[in-house]
Amino acid sequence: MTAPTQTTVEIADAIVEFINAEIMASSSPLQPGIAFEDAGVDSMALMKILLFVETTYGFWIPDEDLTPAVIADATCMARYIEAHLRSKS
Amino acid sequence: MRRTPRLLLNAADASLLALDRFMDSGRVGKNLVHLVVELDGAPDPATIQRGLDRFVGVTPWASSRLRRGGPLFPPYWIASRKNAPEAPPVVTHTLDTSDRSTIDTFLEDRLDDRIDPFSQAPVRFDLIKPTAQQRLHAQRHLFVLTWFHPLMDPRGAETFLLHLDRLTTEDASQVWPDGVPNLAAPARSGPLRKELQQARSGKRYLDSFRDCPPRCPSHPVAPSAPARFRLATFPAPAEVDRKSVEMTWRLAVVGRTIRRVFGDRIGTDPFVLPISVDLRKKGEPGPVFGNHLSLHFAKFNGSDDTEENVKELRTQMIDVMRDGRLDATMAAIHLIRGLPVPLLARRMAASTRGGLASFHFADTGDYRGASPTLFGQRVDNAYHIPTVTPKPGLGVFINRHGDNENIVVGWRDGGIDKGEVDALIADIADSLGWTSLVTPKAEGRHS
Repeated sequence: MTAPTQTTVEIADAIVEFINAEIMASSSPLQPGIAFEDAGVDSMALMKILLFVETTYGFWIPDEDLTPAVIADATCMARYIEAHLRSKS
Repeated sequence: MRRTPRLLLNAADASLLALDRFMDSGRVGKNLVHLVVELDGAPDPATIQRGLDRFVGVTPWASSRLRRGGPLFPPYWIASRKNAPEAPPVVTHTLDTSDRSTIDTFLEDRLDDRIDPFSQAPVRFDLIKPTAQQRLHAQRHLFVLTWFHPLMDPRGAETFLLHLDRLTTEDASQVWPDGVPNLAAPARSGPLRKELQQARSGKRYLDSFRDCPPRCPSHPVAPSAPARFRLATFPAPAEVDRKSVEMTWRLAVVGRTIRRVFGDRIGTDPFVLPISVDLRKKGEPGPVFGNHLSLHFAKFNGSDDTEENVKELRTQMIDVMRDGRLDATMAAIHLIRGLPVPLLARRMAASTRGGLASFHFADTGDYRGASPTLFGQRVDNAYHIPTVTPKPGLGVFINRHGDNENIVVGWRDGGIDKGEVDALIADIADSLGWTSLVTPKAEGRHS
């Protein structure tokens, strides 16, 4: 499902919701704005997030775009996704 | 009357138990792992024992034994029926802890010192203190937790020490004011139909490796060959390249290094690197007992280009995750756990011929950064030393503690030689950007 009209905040919320449902323990939810690395999101978990992005927003983030600036936290990733969706719409 | 608690084996536990069929004489009990914690001072054995007694007070599994369940029931861990659960003792040893080879020899001997989980507690505690003369100059002490692998995984062992440490320092009733957490990995539960579908899919995946020939450089070695290991510790680089900590990148490095060092033995054909994947959720200690591991088999084509290997291995890993094969593999193993132990082995893909489903490479990540001390002493370093099964007979394990990056190579005596171990460590370290060796290489009895 593609959601081109979503804002950065909405996309970030969706990412955080996914991470808290599938990756983080219920007693240690990821807070918006917290860096993935600080929350303990490792490379396997990052792959799960990329799969979520693919399933939800219809594209795979290529390796060359997986820069620290893009995968720092949910907001950074959401900003990238929103820009990508806007460029395709 | 108090009911004796049971702990059913979880999926990965059963698979490892099946593999133990091929260890030594075929009996269960040699698949041991050390978690070694180096301390800068002397912890009090009595204090540790008190913590253990408190732990056993809330869960008897530290003193439990393995029982066979019969054809219709899985094996399970259970505390003694006759006696009150009693914590295993903390055994103190006096050694020259400034001599790496002395420590290594001791740890290797302990790896070969069988735990029979049918009759013994599947955990063991050793406290190594320096000699009296040495204590005037050095204060290095080692606390060694050894466990029978199907009891728990490395992260569970670290969590176990975390709980134990708190229990030694605090009022036991205050450690878990909201109640004792679930210390055991939960059994899988879901609609049977979905479980069966997953299991069939997972079985197909496991079976796809059944005819894969062994490509391990140390295959075959005698099942009774003693366990050997080499630890090399490096200072963590100030600047860490993000990609170098990724699982697939490290996997590519290890695979390429194995090809470089052992190319003349394993040939040029593709080979498979088995990986255990930790499926625990992040952010809390989680269960102590039981494994949260699934199996992934990385098909390594052996290019010398790390970047190219990373791309290929990442694609494989993503495909596995996209298809839900990790969960499916767990489900497949879960459904066969009710079989008697000998039959478990038959059902395990590749276990008899390929020797694939065992530790060959593990990246155990950070030793718990939240616990810079243990039993009141500063932790200088911590690392895991697993035994490796005769197939594949070689394992590479990477972990980090604080500013230390550790590489542990495990093998079976006679499988590979000292020069090959040195080359293996040097190549991996160089590829990871680790340059200055902290720990002198042991020169003990390694052949």
